[in-house]
Amino acid sequence: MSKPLTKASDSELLRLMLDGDSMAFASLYDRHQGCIYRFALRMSDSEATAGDVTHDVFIALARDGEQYDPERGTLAAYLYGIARHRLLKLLKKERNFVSLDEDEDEATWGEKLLSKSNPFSELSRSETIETVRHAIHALPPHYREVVLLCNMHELNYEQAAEVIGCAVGTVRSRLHRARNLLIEKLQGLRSIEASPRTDSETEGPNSRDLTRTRIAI
Amino acid sequence: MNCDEFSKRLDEHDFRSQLRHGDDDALRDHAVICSTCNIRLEMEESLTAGLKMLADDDRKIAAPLFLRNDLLEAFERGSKPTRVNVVAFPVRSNWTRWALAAAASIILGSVLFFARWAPLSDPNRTASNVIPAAAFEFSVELPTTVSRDTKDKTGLIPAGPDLAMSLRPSSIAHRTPQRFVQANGTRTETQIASNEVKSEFVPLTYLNDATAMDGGIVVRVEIAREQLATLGLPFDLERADDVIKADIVLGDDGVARAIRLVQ
Repeated sequence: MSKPLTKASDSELLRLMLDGDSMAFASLYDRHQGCIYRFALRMSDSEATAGDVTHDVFIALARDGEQYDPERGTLAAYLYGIARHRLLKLLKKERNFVSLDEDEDEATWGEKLLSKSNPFSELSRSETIETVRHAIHALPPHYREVVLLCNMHELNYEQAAEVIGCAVGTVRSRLHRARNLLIEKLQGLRSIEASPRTDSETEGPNSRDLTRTRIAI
Repeated sequence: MNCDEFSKRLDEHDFRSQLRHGDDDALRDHAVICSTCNIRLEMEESLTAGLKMLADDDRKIAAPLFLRNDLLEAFERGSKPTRVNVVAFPVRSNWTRWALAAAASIILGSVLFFARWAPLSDPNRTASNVIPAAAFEFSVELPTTVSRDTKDKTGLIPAGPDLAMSLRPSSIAHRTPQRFVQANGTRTETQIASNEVKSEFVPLTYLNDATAMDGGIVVRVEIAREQLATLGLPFDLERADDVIKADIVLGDDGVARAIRLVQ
């Protein structure tokens, strides 16, 4: 008696899918659609784009699934790789357009951070989520993707390197830089528009160290 | 532990989870006595917590239901919707690169062979209409000991009559025309052309900096001179329709990364 599809491995499901089993395809979709859709959503910040990318990823899997080589990584990493490739193409096209309400949004989430030593300390959970989401979206794509893959989708460095197609060291350094950029973005408006009182509070040897740290970041 | 060590250990920390007690007590001990490092540690931990909140919140999100139905229908129909060019894992195998390099070498070799031998073996063509007579018969090579100050700003050797010249066989002149000038001191046709368009690789900057020069292969192509304008390079309007050779660096995704004009 064959195993139920829900317990079958990705490789088994893929083999069945390539033989034309639509239930296997549905199982693979159910298993991986969430992470692919969320990755695409956070990369693009657009539900429509996320839906399109998810659609394209699974169409590509159905058509070109035999190209997947288990020795080169997991099926999830393969699907992330397809999604990433598609997203970067879309993002490159979208760079020619500027959202009209972008400045307004920046001001809104930035105002929340003013006059707070720790940008999260006085934010509610929903505000924190929104602030982090906005900060992630403001990152350049190659930093955004490592933060999403490693910090949110919990891929290890090796898996993220497979998805991106680069060395593990590159993933590490990009993640380090991305996190510093995130911290900088979350702190940025506060330090730029800091009141004189805040300046006097931070004067002394430590303020210089802090400046040096921020520049080093 | 000093601030530098603190910073180094913090950089090495994998912040997919919060620091555990006992795991990095030294970091916390230092943060207690150093306000700057304490702020940084707080920020890192806050960011990790914020990312975790967002990840937890995102787990509720799923692709819309209609997408599943559409995909299943498409799968069952066996339809092939709009083709998606998929490169899931960038191809980096040496085999592919060697094969492409071998193919490029064969093509280049063939082109050179025909460029060199085919015109001369054609009974209807003479040497005079293959290569300008002056360049072919009377070209001279500048001495290799020409001092640097005789070169102009473009790196080319000026063709003034005061330069010492030595007679060279015409066949060598044919092979390396850009190193030759005519005996009367004026530049050859070929040299003028090379002066006009020869360049280093010019990166095509519409690409992401991080991926701009990840790797690729060099492909020799022919383009019209007027297309140089689209690259911001000078060209001779009178010969806008002429075709020149260029080397293009193609990335693994098939997108051009850089271009170099050659003669």
